[in-house]
Amino acid sequence: MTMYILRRVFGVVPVLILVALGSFLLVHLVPGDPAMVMLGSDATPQQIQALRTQMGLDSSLPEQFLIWMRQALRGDLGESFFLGRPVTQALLERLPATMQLAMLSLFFSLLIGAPAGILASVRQNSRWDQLVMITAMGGISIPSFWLGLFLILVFSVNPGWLQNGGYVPIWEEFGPGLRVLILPAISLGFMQAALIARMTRSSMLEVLRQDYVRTAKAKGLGWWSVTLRHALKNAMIPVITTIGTAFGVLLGGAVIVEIVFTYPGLGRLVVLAVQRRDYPLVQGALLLTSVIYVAVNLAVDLLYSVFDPRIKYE
Amino acid sequence: MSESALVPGRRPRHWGESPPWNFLRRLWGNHLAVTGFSLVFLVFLAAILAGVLSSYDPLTMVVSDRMKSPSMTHLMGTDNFGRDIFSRVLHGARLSLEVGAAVMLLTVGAGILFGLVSGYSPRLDGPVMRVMDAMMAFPAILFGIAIMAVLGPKTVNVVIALSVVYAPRTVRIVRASVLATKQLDYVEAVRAQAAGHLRILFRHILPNCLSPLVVQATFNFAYAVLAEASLSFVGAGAPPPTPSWGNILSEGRIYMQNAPWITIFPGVAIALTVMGLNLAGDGLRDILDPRMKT
Amino acid sequence: MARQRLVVGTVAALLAGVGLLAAAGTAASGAPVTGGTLRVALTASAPSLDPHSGTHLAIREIGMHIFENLLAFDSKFQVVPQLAERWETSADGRVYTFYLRKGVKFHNGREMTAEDVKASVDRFRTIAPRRNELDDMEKIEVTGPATVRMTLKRVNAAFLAAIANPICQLAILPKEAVEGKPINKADIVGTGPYRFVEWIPDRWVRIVRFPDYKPEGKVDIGGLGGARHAYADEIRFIPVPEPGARVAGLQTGEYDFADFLPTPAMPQLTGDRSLRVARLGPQNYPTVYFNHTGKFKNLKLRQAVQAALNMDEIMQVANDGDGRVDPGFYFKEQVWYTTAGGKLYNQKNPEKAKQLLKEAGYNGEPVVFVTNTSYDYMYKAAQVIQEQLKKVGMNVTLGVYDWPGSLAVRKDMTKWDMFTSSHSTRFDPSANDFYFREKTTFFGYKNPKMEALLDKASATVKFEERYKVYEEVQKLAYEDVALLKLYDHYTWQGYSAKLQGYTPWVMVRLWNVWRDR
Repeated sequence: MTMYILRRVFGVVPVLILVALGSFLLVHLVPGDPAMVMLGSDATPQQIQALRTQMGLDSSLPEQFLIWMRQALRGDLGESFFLGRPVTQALLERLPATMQLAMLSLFFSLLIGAPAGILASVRQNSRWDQLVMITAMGGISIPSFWLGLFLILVFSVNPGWLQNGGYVPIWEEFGPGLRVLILPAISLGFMQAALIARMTRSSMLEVLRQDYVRTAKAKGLGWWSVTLRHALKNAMIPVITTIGTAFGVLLGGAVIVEIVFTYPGLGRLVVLAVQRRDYPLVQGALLLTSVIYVAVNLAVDLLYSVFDPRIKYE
Repeated sequence: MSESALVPGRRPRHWGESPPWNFLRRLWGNHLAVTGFSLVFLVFLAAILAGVLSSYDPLTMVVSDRMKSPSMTHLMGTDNFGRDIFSRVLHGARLSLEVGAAVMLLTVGAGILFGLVSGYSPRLDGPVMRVMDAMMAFPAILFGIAIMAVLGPKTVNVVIALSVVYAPRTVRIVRASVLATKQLDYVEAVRAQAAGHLRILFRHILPNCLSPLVVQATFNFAYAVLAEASLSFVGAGAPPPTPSWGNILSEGRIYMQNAPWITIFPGVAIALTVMGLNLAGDGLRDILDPRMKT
Repeated sequence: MARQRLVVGTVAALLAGVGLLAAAGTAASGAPVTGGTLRVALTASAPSLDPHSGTHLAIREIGMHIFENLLAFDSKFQVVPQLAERWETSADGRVYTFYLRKGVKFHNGREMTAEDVKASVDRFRTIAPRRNELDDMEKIEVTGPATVRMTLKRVNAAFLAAIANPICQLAILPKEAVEGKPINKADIVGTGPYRFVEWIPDRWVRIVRFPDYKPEGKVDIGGLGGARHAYADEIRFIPVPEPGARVAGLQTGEYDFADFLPTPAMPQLTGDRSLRVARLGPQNYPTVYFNHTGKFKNLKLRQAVQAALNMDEIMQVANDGDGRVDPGFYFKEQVWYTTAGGKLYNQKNPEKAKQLLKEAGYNGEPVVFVTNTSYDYMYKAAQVIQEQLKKVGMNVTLGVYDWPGSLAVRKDMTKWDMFTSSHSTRFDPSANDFYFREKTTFFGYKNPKMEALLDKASATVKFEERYKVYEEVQKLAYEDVALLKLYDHYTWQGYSAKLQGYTPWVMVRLWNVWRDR
């Protein structure tokens, strides 16, 4: 078991290295010079060159990469060209906002999606089933930004209740913090809820068909006991394994939603940084989000393996 | 897929029993697939007939006619440049379908190439999958935006960017099928006969990958349409004045209060197209491999 | 169409109302009240708070509250004292002596001296993008604890304007805050009514009242000079790039003040009794530059573009009709305003354009028109222009980038033919000089006749004569199609009705503004 865990953890390292390499290359291939952006169009070539040297843009790419990697391993992601402060600090300032959004969306999607899927599977082909399936189909087809725009339009008629903007972390002020999060979380989570509903439904259907379930029913066990205890536990396994992916999808999808709702999260910061050619910030942000994604997936995998007896003895 | 592919030697008795025809018959019987493909076909028609269905050029600006609400002369109204929205939505369909189809083909190609290689050769499996894992770790839209920033705003680059983003999951699917098939007894047997690797790959393994691949391809098409709209929405997609549903939506955003039709129609178009593709994908999955989870 | 008329009609009616409202608002309703926090939503986030570092609007909108210059402009665009209480010019017009006010404190407690002035000016001349405006300065000397002497190589009528120019402020900071500090790294310490507290990028900039501030004089003369009082305890500048969010924030009371409000939202905001709106106008004018080293070396080709453009349409689309079609490089409201060359402006003559294209020998070669998505109105204008040029047979492709990306492309003279930009309110006509001088232009413009005119203007100190020279400059700019002005661009500001004392002028100015209880 421990071997398994260790293996999994070490297996992640090459991925992280590749991620770092990818972030670095991607950013440095973007045309446009941060020095020029900073100095404005009236700067002389000498000034731009001087600033470039100061920014460390002079050395060769491999050199720059190694320097960056060495620092990154120590937790120092360099200094943002434009914010004039350490990248790590800038990212950590905005990370909580995006995490709140992603977690609330995930929570929402599980809360709505799972029961809906269960309901649909248990009442297969009934009106409930069709309602859930149709809504879910709509959910995975409607772009999140369109839903967001629509929600803003509808709720902007009564601007008092659901504020658009004015972020405050929920651990500082729960009520107002939540109010700001609700609309973006719904926009973001709706598609995920639909996916979870569909997956739960098909998973449950699968399990409910199995012999052991029918046996349990035949044995006269209570209907709820059968459904909840046996079927649900097994049906949720595939759903739980996708929580990791779902979280990643939400982290990514948060970008668009943050833009629509002008929510001060990582996504918006990164888009702005790309526009300004703020290399260290974009690199750091790509690295950070990917690391989080890998970490969450790893955690979910490990947790899952703890519960799945098939893996215990690998 | 029907069993004939797996059991060598059993030939269909007449063409009506052949796998492709069987497949089509079952497809027709499946409501989801029919609805889905019909929707997609409708969008396809709209795209092809864009020039015919609308008498307006999607790029021509008649500034004196700007921000007109839907009417008989302008079925979906005009935008803030005075361009006919109906025409732009139809041409936007063209762009979405082109991008979607191209991405679908490229991801399928990449999927087959890397999936086969990765699944079949244990030595190459490690590195390839690490790279795929790394690619999947990047948040999709950010990745797309960054790639577009590198390559520059052109429709071709949107295709490349989205193919890069969606290739890894396709590779995974193919690889999983390859791994599953590789262990089948008869494949072991064929290998024992020292048949060439390529022959094994293409004659025996690849056919088994087709079912999940076809399903994934359809979903990739859907993802691509959504992603193209998202990229255009944030300004990282096809350049103006190319009509793209995402572009129209983002241009209309500021006018949502006074001219909501600019944002409503492209949104509906996106939803219908993606829905059609999803339905088709669902239907295909029902027929080809009911055991596949979402 | 009806809807559009409604918007424009309401806007027009508003002008009358706003005029009255602004007058009523500033005819101070009661005595100023100290206290409170003002939350201000700005479109742009400042790339830096270092006042010498750039010409970006956000730098000075915030910076004006923190820093001061030797001289400032009043509401009539005349140069008035700020940190210098008076100045003397030598008989030959080449030596300027500035006498500094006494007892002016920096935010770090120290009193301002001539050494600080010299250090700030020296740094400015090293790193500021606008430093070429001080090129004529031969030397700067500290001639006493509160006197600074600047000697010029030759007479420069625009010298005082260059000192007072708020665009890339020649702010005076303490010597230790600027000495040896590279660009963007100066310590944010000034002499203004507010002092800097913190900057969380993309969240807010916070400044608080500086109790030891000494206002210049007793009277609020408007503009950027005169007596500036800090009434609010704190001002928070919050970057909100999305126009919809600024509008919504105003309505929910989340922001007390918001700039650059989109015209389509104005009728809705005007109806809101808890808000006031102000039309800042005009705030800038969008422009199109030609690359004079490429195919647009050909005068006839430039003239063709000039003839084809329909500025009314461009203005309608780019700013939803909220603009003014006018040829002046300065606004009607400014003393430098002239319509010289205006006959060539807004010709909307496709036939003439086609004819000129033929004469130019244009054969359908692709024309690259670079624009950006960061400024909505430029982007929209570019699309309209592309259509208008297409109609006369020009093959125009748009190169769309974000603003930094477009700047990068502009540097490479082989990659573009036309470029969108805009000129914010000019405080002195010399501000436009560098576009037309061969040494400083970035679009390859070369015209000895123009250089001669500009030199003449620089040497002419008397206003009436200088005005005439700049009239010639504008006329020549039109005849030679050096660049194109599109239209006068108005912007809207909105603020809480509780805010008193606010007078809209060129940029966000929140001194002498207070919030009623």
